[in-house]
Amino acid sequence: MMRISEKDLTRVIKNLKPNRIVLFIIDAKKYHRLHAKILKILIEQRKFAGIYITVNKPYKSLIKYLEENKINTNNIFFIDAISKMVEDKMKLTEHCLFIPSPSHLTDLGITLTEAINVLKNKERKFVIIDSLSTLLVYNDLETVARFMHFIISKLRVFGLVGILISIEKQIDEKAVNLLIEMCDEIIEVK
Amino acid sequence: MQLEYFTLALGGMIIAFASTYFLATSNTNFTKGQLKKITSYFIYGALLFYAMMTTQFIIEIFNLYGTFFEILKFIFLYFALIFFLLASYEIWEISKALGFASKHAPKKLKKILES
Repeated sequence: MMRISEKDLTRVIKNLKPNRIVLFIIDAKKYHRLHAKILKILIEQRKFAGIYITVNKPYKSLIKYLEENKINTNNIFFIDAISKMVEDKMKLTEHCLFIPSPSHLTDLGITLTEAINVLKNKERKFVIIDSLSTLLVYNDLETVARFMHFIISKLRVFGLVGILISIEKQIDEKAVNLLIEMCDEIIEVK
Repeated sequence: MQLEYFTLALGGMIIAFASTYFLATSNTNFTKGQLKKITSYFIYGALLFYAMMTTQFIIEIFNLYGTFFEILKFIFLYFALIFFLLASYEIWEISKALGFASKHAPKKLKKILES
């Protein structure tokens, strides 16, 4: 595990190579600032496009928050599993795919697989999962570990950049140890 | 001739049972969601199909042609088809949400996927 300061975050993301899976463990107090910074560098500076899976903030709040932080969302497609805007069925809109619950991991896995299969220029695409700690609130560790293993394998096979975000202290040591094996880098931002 | 029907009914029972077994095992592995729902419909359909083949098997053994058992067989078949229809409808619903390769996929999504 690598511990870096907020200043080093820009350098780390700028040097992020395709086919890398990175878990960022962020201090809860700095979450909003750092989360926006990660996205800004990926989208504005590295010109990446990709899929953003949110289980933390509903799509509407997330968009508002990203716009406030002047982050261009034109190149991000959102998968929202927290809004509960749909009863028990997935629903695709112009900007977002809604999944009924963060516990519907099978549906989430199929969604990602389908999306990744049709992605072009995969070396310039990312998948962000925000956040692992929230996924662990809705599912047990074993299920989340299996899901993450599945997703990470897919990202590796297709050569995409995977950014996993988790809030410090909300993710226990057992989960971190499992993720150390799966991810290429675990970066704790202090 | 009767032996052939008997064998076909037995074969159908075995296939329907195997199908139910695989579906039920898969269903326990899935988390809650639309796919689980589809698998459940298929399980009910396969179970009813199994019941139908069992009824046919009984008809063959005891020569119950023209009795209530024949109607029962069609009732099972009818309900099995209803569950297969429900499963098909759910798959159609999923294809609307996950049809990323579809011509009708949102423009923004297409742009991101293909850029």
